[in-house]
Amino acid sequence: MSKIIGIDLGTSNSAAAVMMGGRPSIVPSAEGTSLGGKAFPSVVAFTKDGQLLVGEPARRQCVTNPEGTVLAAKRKMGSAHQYRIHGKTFTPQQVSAFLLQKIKRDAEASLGEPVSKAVITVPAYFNDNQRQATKDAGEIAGLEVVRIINEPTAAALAYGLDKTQDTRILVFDLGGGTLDVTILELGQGVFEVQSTSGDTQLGGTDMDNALVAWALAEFQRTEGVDVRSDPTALARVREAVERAKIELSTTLTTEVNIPFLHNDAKGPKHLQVPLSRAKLEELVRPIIERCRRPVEQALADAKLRPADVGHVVLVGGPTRMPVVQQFVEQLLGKKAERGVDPMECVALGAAIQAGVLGGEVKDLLLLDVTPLSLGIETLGGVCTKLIERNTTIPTRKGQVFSTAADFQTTVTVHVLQGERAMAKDNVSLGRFDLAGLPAAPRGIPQIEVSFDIDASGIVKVTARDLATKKEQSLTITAPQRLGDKEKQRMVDEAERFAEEDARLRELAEARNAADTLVYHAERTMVELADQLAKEDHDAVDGAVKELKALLAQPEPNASDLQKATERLQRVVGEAAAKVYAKQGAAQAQPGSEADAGPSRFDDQPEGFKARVRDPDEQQD
Amino acid sequence: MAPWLWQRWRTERQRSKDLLARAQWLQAELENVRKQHERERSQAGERAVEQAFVRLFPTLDACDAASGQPGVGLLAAELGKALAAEGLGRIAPAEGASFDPRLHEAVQREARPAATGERHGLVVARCLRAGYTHRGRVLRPAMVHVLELTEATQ
Repeated sequence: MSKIIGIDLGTSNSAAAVMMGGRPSIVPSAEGTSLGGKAFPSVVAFTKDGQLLVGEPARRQCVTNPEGTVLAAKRKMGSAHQYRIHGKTFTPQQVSAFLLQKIKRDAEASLGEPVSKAVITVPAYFNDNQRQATKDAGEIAGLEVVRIINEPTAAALAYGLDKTQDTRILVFDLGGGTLDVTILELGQGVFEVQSTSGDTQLGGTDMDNALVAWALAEFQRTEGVDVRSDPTALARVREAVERAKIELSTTLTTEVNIPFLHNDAKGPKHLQVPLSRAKLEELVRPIIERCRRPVEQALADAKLRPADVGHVVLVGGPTRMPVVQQFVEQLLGKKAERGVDPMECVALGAAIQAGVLGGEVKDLLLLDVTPLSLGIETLGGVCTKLIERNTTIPTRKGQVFSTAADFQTTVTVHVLQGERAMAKDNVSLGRFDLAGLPAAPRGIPQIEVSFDIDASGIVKVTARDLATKKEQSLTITAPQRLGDKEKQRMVDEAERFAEEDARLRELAEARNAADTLVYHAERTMVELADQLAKEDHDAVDGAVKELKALLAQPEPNASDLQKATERLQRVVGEAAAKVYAKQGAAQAQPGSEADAGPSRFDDQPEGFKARVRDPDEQQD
Repeated sequence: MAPWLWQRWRTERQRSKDLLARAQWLQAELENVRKQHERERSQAGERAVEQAFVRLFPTLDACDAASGQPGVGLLAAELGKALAAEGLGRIAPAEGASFDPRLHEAVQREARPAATGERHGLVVARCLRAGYTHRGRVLRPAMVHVLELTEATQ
């Protein structure tokens, strides 16, 4: 079974992607990256000596051979246009086929296997003729075109929007030279084009030109020199402005700094001019404003108000600019989807479609994720997460816990689902007891709790005493059958209560630490009773009482607890040190009480810090 | 065997075949992704070096532009030497070198008939700005002014 590649055959740039390990990944162009992305220019040329050039090399020789170079063949797809090149004629399909052949070669080189099938994207407004021509181009290039899909659909797929609830999606695709606005309606996983609009003479190039013009004017103003006719200077200005533009996506001010931009009889001249984000926005604002009409038109054609749009997807390099994002988001009153490179998302979406068609993404093996975290309740009402949300299933995770009280023979495993820190704020999926543990001091038994989630989302929770091998388990069928809304509510809630939850968790942890220390301190006092000096005994006793008093409070202050814990730790340490000094190092074994002493507390393995809640303990 | 049982057996057999194929496919995929990951990791160092070079281009351009200034030539030569030691190659075609779009980017062109003894075709009239390579990869093509030597008969 060979791979099907996804191809974004663009007007000015093209890119391809393929599924790798279940995820789409861009096929690198053999000539390397040159556009700040992994795409390559959609340029084909024949030199006078009959050589065929595709991509970067074709673009670079364009000036020397304009009659032999074809740019933007996509605009002619499906028409009867013929390119006459050095006495030969080519159809737009044939020219596009040269681009596709290069993609095929690059993909084969990168995958190390032959590639014979592809999914190719076209603009939503392409008619049947244009789609057929695109298909033909593929066949000429030796690729079986298994499907032609719309560019906006591919972009939506790249964001996984096919898995959302039925909604309307506005795709804003601002490329180098064209703007396409498409409104898609998603119903039961199928995308339908509601309306399209756009401007074929509007794009990132216009913005770059505006910036270059500004920089040149600044140079002329300060140095009195016009470098418009100097190609070297122009290229340096263009690149410097491009860098400044990228920097201004993350910073508020930068400097366009080009030393020795011009040399003349009066000496060298440098361009050094600050550029703020505000200035940049002012310069490109007129161009961005031109995007307003097409968006409004698309909405009007689909008979929608901005509020009816469920998702906004941005495509194309210029949409990386914060000012463009803000403009679109303001216009629609909605945040745009984030996380996929806007220059790559069409190719990535095409690869996802190719994966589905090639059986790579089969329903049978479509791996799901757990929508919410899963965990158990531990001492102090804390929810200890074992499986974080968004973990791909099937999966298995286990952790070792211990008991919270001396001679505790039963533990209750309370299974929880949710993002909140405290057990009571999460959803309870069920509870079960593991009984018959051998009587032992608290913290000694080792109980492994493991979560097994199979591919269909069925969770099996098992508690196992590592000493006796006794085990008990609970199976929860489809615990995450939550609606998207409810899921979102729980995630939002976790965010909203993050601070309060952190405080509660901290308090619970402080309580647990204090409780453990009181336990050890009391044991130490009993075991060393006859060796402790009276004042040490009283000091420890006083500190223990103080801490116990704090613990008895319904909601003590966490930092008070910590301070009292530290005080107790100190006096116990001092008392124990005196005893051992008196005994002499060689005389007596330190004994288990020293091992279990407070100073060792922090060295205990992670699993022991959290304890399975004692069923006898009072519920709060 | 009862027909329903037979049917059931056939579906189950098909299912198990599909699953086996699927498992093999995934196993192979995992191997491939692992290999690719290895490759990418080994290349990551090189990419980082290239990124650093690319960031230096504006400065190198400034050095070239300022080469007439006293002392700058020496400075540029030192810098160039250090970068060359790290594998940065310079593309600066001499006048008359044949134009190669894999290494050069044409920004201007003029044409004249080829003189006797000259081969017709595209040659570099002037290198306007140096380009750079790293281990055979073109990081930036040289920007050149191209001269087209047309056939004398024209």
